[in-house]
Amino acid sequence: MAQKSKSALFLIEMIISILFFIISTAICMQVFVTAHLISKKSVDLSTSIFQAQTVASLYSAGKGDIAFLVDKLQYNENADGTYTSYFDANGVFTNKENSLYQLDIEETDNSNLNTISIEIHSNDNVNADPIYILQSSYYLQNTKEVIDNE
Amino acid sequence: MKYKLNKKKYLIDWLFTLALFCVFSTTALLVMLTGTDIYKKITINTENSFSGRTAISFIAKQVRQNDNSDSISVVDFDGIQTLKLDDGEFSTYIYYKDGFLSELFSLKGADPLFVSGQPLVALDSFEMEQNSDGTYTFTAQDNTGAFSTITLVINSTS
Repeated sequence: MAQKSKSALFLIEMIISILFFIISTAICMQVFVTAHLISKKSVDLSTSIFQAQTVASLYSAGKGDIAFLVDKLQYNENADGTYTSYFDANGVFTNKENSLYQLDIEETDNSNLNTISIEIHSNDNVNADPIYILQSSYYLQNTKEVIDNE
Repeated sequence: MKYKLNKKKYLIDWLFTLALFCVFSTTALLVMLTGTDIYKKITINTENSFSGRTAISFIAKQVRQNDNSDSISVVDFDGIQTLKLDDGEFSTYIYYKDGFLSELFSLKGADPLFVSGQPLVALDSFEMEQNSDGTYTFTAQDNTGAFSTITLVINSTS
């Protein structure tokens, strides 16, 4: 009886040790994976911010004319009137297959204030929340008719 | 006979405990090694990305601070491509030399002494370009070979 009780006690001790070890390993792995994901998220955010600023600068350089952007960054016009472009990890605009990020532009034409909304998504999941959103506006000082007529 | 059986049982118990301890130690070591490897990768990645991104953020801040088409120019001084920012009596030169993005603050009109510049961040390469549409493109390559790039526009004219 004493022998049986001793073995059972040893088995329980082993089970508790293994359980504790498994829990510790799981926590460690979770910490590593979280650290990796945060690091990736940080790189994604920085790259996206630089690209959004680039688009906003070009929009400003083109004096609020979306055609200038489309020409510069090889945008594809979608059926709903928005524009889509793609870029890689180095911030180089490229085709969809070689890209990591998708950049969508929607233009809001509001009297003399042309505004674009820039949204950047990861190509892994374009339906997820955007990595970064930036709105850029360009005021057309009495030149709207001229641009429209062009 | 009983003594022999007991001795054998003790040996099995001992071997089982030893085997379990070995498995435990090996797995613990593996987890530690994996952790160290991941931590090392994250640290290197963070440090390197930091240099490229910091350089680009610094340039963006400097250009926006001197947002005037007459104050900003990309000039070539003896083969060193330099972003020249004029502010009153002084000029700030930002350039890439000897593996570092450096900054030099000097009197306007004086010949820049690039050896006296202050190194800011270590980079593999740094390029700047004044585009025909009035924009400036800056590209930094960090020590991992990754690029960070930005295009900036000058909004004001004097």
